[in-house]
This record gives sequence, C-alpha cells and structure tokens, in this order.
Amino acid sequence: MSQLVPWALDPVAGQAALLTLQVLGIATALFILVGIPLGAWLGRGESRLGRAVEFLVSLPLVFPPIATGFILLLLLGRHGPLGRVLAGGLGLEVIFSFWSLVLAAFITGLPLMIKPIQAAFREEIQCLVDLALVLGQTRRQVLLRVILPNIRRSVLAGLFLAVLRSLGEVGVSLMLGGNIVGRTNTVSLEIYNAVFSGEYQRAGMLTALLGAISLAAVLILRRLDRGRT
Amino acid sequence: MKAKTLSLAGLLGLVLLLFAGTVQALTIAAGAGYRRPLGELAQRFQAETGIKVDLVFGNMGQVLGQIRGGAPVDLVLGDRAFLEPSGLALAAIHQLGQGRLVLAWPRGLRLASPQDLAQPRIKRLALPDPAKTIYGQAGWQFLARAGLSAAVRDKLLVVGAVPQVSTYLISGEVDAGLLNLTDVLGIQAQIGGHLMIDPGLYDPIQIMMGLLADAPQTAEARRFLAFLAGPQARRIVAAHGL
Repeated sequence: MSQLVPWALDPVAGQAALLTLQVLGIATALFILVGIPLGAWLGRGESRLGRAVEFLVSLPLVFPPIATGFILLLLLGRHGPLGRVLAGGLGLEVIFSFWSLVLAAFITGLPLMIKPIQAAFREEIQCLVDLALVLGQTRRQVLLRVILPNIRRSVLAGLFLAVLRSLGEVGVSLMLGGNIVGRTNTVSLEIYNAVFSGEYQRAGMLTALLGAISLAAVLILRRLDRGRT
Repeated sequence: MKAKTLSLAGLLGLVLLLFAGTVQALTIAAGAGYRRPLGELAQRFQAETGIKVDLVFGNMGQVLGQIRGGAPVDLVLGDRAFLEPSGLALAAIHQLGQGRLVLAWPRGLRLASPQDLAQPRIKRLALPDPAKTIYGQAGWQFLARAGLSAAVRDKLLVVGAVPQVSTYLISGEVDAGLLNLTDVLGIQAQIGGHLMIDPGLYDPIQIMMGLLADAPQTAEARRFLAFLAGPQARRIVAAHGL
C-alpha cells in the first residue's frame, strides 16, 4: 500500500494519465466519425480506389510502429510535403504537439475499427438497406432505423479493439510526439521510459495504471453494448 | 516406424548441436550509441578467434538494469560516469577511448560556431536526456560553460536517447542537435554537417569495457579484452571517433 503513495503523488504520472485520457477521448470521437462511414464504404463496394484505401489504412498493422512513425514524420515534418501545407495554410505544426499523439492513436487504431464494420456491411446489411429502400423509406430513415441499429455490435467491437490498441501505442507516438516530458508523454510512453532507464518498479506501477484505464474503457464499452438490445 | 524414430533422433541431435553452439557465445552488453564500433569489433574478433559474440544494446540504464536482473552478460561497454556508480562488480577494466560531443545540423543549414545556437534562425535544439544519457549530461555542461544556457532555454527539445536526436536531424525536424561523434559519423551523408565541441567545455567521457565478476564465459571475455588492446581493434575504435 505504501508503494501506491509515491505513485499517486508522482506529478509526471498524473499528467501522463490526463494526457492519455484526452488523446483517447478525441481518438474515440474520430474512430466513430471517420471509422463508421469509411467501414461502410469499404464494405459496400469493390472499387479500385476502395481497395487502395483499405490497403493504406491497414499498413500500420503490418509495419513496425517505429517505421510507421518515421514515414509519418517525413510526411508531416517541417520539410515534408503535408507538413509544409499544414504549416503554411493553417499554421498548424503537428510534430511534437498534442495532435501528433491523436494522429498516432487514430492511425494505429483505425484498421481495427473498420474491419468489423466492413464485414457487417459485406453480409446482410446491404440486403436490409435495399429492402427498406424498396419499401419506400427515406435515406435518413434507413440510416437511423436500419443501418445504425444493425451495425451497433460491429461498431462496438471495432471501437473496443481500436481504443485498446491506441491506448498501448508507443512507437508512432514516440516518433511523432517526441516523448517530451510534460507535453507528449502518454502513460504508455512513460512505461517505455521507465523500462528504458531501468526503473522497473515505476514501470510496474504505470502498467497497473494503464490496466486501470483500459479496464474503465472496457466497462464503458460493455455498458454501451448492453444499453439497448 | 524405424525411419521415423531415426529421423526424430536426428532432429533431436541437431537441436542439441544448435544449443551446444550457442553455449560458447560471448555476450557483450552496451549502450545503443556504440552499436557501430562494437559491431565491427565483434565481427573482427569472431573472424580471428572463431568465438561467437552476441551483442545486446539498449540505453545504459536499461542495460545495467538487465545485468543487475541476472542477464547472462560477460562484458559491458559504457562510460565511466554510468558504470562506476552502478555498483556492478567488475573483475577487469579496459579503457577503450574518449567519447566526443559534437554539434550537428540538418541539410540546408550551416553553423559556423557553437555560438550560432543563440541566433534566432535556430529554433529547436535536440539534446538527449541529461539525467539518463552521458552525452545529454555533456551537452548540458557545454551549454552552461559556453554561456548558452539562457539563450537556448526555449529552444531545447529533450529526447530520450541519442538515436532520437539523429532521427530528427535526418528529418530536419530540429535545427541543431547535440550528440556523440560516433553516431554522427554513421549518419554523415544524411545531415548538413557537424562540428566538434571543445573538450574543455564538458567533463571527459571515458568509454570502458568492464569484465563482470560473475561472467559465464570468463576465459573468452579475457581474450576479447586482449584483442581490444591490439592495433587492429585500436584502428577500428579510432575510425569511429572514440
């Protein structure tokens, strides 16, 4: 029990936990806003563009995270093609900022979010949509009454995997965020730092903290799953 | 049935042979910054003696933690400032060379002297963590002794380890970085350039190889230490800027 006191008083850990929750919150919103339409689109058609997008989105599953991070760094960095556009047009510097962590969480979790939704659309949903349209329902009614209720479980399954994956993300966050203490060090990065410098006890406590955060996420998702059946 | 038994026995024999091969290996642990010189040294030693060398890399804190945790390591390569206070029992020590701090910058820039760090065109300066890495510590001392601390305070980007500084120099994400000569020599073609920091501005960095008192392969480890004292090894070490 006495071991928990320094942990609770550790300002770095507290700040890292807060940062992790903020990143997770925004990433979750993005998973829902981008992941559902993207999964639906990929599940419905077999266009060449669709296959290319699916391939690109899936790459972070295959590449070592540090490689994904390095590629994004070259794209979004000061001299990268995207980085220059963002900095010039919006005055937004992604690298070393809070948004680089959101991006890392989003990119690594996205393939896990869309796969179950994609699969749901491949199967019976398209049939139901066609049926509802034939029966004279408007597109809006179809979306709210047919599509969303039917893919709810797939969305939750995808969200579950995506959120937990992004919670443990280290490689991409390290490369893009810089692992800067007090600014871009998530709990997972703090665990990495602690192991890296031989502070195994601290690593253990932080891992317990990450476990608690993920347990909370699991419980919330479970509740959502049971909420309406 | 007989053929099956025979092939099984053969497979078992092969597996045993593989294990017998690995038992002989010498294990050397080192800070990640020494990957290039140590890799070359190990290769040469292996060719000369036939003794296999396994290399373990990490940052010094992690490496020392692994050894304290009971990893079967024979030799450890690092700097005196980290090895000595670590409390590891060493049976022998070989001085390998001096670590040198350099200031490097990405392509498209040019720094004439360390004092240029104070100029407004230098917006970000990467430094390895002074609390955890020897070159971070040296960089910190240099900034203080050169009277640059105040001028660069808002530009400093403290990162976890030396290789991270290299990465951001290559990608151009920082305008300058403080790191070791060995690493810079490895990425020379991908960055703008570097200059040596006056060794008087930071405490000497003594790179040493220590033989652990409880090394599993003491005899082989002593041969490696003897090899390090030879002219060939010295040439390799010098070529890597140590």
